[in-house]
Amino acid sequence: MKKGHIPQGYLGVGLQPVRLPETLRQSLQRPEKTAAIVLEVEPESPAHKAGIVIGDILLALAGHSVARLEDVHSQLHGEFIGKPLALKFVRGGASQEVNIVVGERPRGGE
Amino acid sequence: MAIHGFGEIAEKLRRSTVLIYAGARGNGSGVIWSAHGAIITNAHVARASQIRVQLWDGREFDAALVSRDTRRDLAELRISAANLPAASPADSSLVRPGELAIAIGNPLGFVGALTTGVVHAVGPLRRLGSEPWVQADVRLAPGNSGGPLADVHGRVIGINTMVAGSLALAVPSNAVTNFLAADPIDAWLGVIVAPVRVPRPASRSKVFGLVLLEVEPDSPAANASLLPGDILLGTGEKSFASLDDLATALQGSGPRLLRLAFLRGNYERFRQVTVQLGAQRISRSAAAA
Repeated sequence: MKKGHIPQGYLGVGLQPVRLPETLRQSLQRPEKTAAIVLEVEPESPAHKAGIVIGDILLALAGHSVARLEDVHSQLHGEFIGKPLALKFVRGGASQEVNIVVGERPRGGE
Repeated sequence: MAIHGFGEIAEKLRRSTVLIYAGARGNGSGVIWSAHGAIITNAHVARASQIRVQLWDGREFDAALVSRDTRRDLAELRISAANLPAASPADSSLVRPGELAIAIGNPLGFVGALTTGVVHAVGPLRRLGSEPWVQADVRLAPGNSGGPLADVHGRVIGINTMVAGSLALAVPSNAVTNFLAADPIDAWLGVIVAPVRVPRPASRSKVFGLVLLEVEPDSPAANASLLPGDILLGTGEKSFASLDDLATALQGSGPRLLRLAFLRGNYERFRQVTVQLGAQRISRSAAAA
């Protein structure tokens, strides 16, 4: 292990679980009733560079549905660091997708 | 200071003041607001699940909690009694510094204790939000909370609520009038919000915002096309600096419009929306008709 620690991926967002509006859930044909809303974006973080802003509602990361906060964390293995992952989200009621290059969680940080 | 008829004025006010047994938290005071059993006190006094009220003549009643506003620290209780000696409220917007102020309450177990002073100021206080207070140098103690602060004629100008330094702070009587007139549906926007700090473009500063986590279907917010993820920044006139500012902006009664500034997916593009408040009952009854 060259680095002496286990590197972890990171996006640089503060998230909170949120219930999806029923009409939106149906239009997205999504079985999960919840997603994760962005309440904070760290400057110069992968999320910031990908154009994610406060209020975006994350639906899926790397093709895996985001219903709980753990669903985001579980996609941030060290092996994905430096690689782009598809991030599907809702902004202004419409679904969008961007590629987000996973960063390495700063040591000592969260 | 000799005031003609002061004894009568004080006695009349004392009869309009009640003792509130609020359980283990200690006792408080209240003001008889209507002859039919409405009693006003502080929300922080009316916290117990069972509340008993004792009148000046010793009669005791179980009180029902009708409504409670923790932000303005007011509560309305109701007892099953009639022909009560209701207090006369004054227009607190006319109260001026230097006027004599009379406080009655039940401090430290003394029932119907009276203290006098003068009004120092009427208006907001730093660190206590934007709501006005009647500030007077009357001496209050635990047990005075919820009791009346009155003018020289015995008319209630405020509800004694807290002590700040050497000053007593009372919720103005006009705030009580507004509290009693408010219908919860009149202040209903239909959103759940979370406070956020929004980066300002081209600067390192951040501004306060309230991001919408949920928008209830058929609510005023939904009817104005607000969406989850939108960030409320303020009204047409004033930026929000706290969650209280949104609650204040929503105050009022009857159908009315409120202009809100918000962001949607872009920190640089300020948007505005006009929300119709207080019209829900009308549209429902019209729909039923």
